[in-house]
Amino acid sequence: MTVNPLYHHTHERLEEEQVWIQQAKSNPELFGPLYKKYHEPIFRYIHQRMDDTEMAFDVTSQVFMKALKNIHKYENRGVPFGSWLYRIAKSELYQSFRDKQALRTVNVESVTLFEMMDEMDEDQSEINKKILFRALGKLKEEPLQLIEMRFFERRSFKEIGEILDITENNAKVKCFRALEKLKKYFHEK
Amino acid sequence: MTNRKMNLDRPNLNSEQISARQNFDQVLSKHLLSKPPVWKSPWFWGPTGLASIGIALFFSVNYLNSQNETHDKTNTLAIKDLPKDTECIHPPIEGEDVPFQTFEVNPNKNEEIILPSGTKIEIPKESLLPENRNESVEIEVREFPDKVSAFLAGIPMDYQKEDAFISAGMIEIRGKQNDQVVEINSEEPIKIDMRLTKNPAGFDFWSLNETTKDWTKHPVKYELNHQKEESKLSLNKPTEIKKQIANIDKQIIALDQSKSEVQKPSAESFKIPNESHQKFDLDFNKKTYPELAKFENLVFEILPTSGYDKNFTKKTWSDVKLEKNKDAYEMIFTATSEKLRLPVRPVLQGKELTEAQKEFDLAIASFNETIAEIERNKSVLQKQKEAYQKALMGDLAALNEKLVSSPSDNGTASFQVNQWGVYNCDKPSKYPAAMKNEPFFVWENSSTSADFSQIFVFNLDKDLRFNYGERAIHPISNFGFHANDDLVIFGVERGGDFGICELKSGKSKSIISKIIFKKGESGESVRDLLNKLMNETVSV
Repeated sequence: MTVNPLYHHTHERLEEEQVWIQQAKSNPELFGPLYKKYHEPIFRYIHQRMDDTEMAFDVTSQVFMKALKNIHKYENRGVPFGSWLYRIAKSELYQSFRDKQALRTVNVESVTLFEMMDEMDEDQSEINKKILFRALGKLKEEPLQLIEMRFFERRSFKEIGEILDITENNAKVKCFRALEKLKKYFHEK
Repeated sequence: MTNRKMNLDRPNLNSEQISARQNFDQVLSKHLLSKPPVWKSPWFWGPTGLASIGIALFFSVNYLNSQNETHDKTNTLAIKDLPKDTECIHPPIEGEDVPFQTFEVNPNKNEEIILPSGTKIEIPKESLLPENRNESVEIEVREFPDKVSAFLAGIPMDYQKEDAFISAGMIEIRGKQNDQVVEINSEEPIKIDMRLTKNPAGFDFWSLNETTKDWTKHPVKYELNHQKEESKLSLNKPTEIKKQIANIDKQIIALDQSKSEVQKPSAESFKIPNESHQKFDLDFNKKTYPELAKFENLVFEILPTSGYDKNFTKKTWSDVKLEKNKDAYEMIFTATSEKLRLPVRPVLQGKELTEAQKEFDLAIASFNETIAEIERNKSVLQKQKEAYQKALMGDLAALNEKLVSSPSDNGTASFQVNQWGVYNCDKPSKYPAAMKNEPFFVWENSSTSADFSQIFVFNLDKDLRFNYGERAIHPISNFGFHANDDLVIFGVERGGDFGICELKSGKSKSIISKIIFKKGESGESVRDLLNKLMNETVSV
């Protein structure tokens, strides 16, 4: 279970990151600190949705290559650098699914299922755990992505909105609908 | 997605395993190898293209400037024409604003206005500077004796971005003649004796800067015994005096009882460690202890400081288990010939500890404040009692001399104003930390989420209002609350729909949560509803 600590930056850390970005724009060799900082969260984002660990490392490398190639296009206009990287990661990830190189995987932890049962006002039982696990498998891709980001990765609505390129409020409404859909599948016999 | 695999509890890679696979040099070399030839690179075409664009821009800007010399002037005029209204005071609910009381005064006479609360406004004859001295001036006044009225009037109650205000009394005063603002003579300021709703000890006095929406300190003098004149009651009958003493005794007992009921926050309940105790990091099964699963940086502290072999850490144990009995935890160490049971408690470390410590400090400050207020009120009552007892013995003069104001009377704030606006006796208090994950705001008995543009959190224990969203310093994503206090949360949608939610103290700030709002009915008085809710919640 990963909370995304990098999203909740202090002002000083954000300023420091902006300096790194400017330096990396003029010299790709200075991209190192950004790579070091975001390698693990980007890898975890990809690995969460992939079965093959080696493939997840490869896709992570591709994400950073793409980021290096396009960093001159990045401007800090409301979307934090981390969210910009997640957008690239999402694109690369789905490209790998389309190319049939990787298998879309949903990785769920029991503890998250129990927390979700609590959220859904359902009894925390082993039977319900199995039903919820099955219900998650029935979700379409869009609501599944939202459930993954909100409940498995515990991202804020603001960050979800930035990654999916929608407003914070839209992210909130969509997450709520995804949860309602999940509840519907949960109660289906 | 047709082809999808579902995994349950796949082992996670740890940070060391992931960082061991970092290879920036490889990423960089691949990136450099994938670079296009120089003539295809933007670095080649960039300067050429930029130079062309620059030349074109230079000529077009020069051309435009020569054609349009008045352009800048037009812009300046547009800025000057912007509305002067700063929207500093903006009622959140349409039709629920707090009305002004209007008084007509003669600018050529010394005038005095006494409000129903007892607040006195003295306007010297040279104080008002209207265009026409032969016409009366309208003085508009409204007081905000409680948090509901300040909220409904839309008075901004944030101070320097980090704090909210606890108010002990607030007044807004304006003056106009034929809808034109009347200036105040700075040599002859208006004098106001504002009745306070709380004892002003520890409070400062402020005026609202309506341009910056912030508060600046304003000179004031507090008077706690203004009721002395009114207190010269006809208490010359012993039965009446005895009745008063009995009444005071009852109030003192009630205060003692409420003091005994105020619970001092314990470091244990905030999971704050005790430095002198031994601690352990234990990888426990989060499924078995879901109540602990939400904490990231958890260690276990051994409760006794003595009575066990502290060298047990040097022994080899074949098994270590965590067991729970009601709310207590026990760690069991097992070896072939020995078993050690140690009571433990989970404690926080790192960032979570820092946050918990902040919340604990706030809870302690709130506790101390409550106790101090009870003590102050008790001391006032005891002095009153002494004065009545002396009066019983025939010393009525002493009664009139020494009788002090009752706890419900917190005195007055005397100040002078030479600018219309809002004046406030207040004390800043910190905003709660934002929740790690913003909760869902959901309508009761509905499957729709509420689309609030503004959220107001009334902390009933601390007598504070925290504002989030439009027109507030804090965005809704910063939403947070003090989990150990009684709260009333009020949300307003852009269309004007509003919802209310009560949260009793002790609601845990769970990581994943939703807050259910009851929809306000149209025609319902928000003022009555909030007042009722707050009074009910307080009495629980």
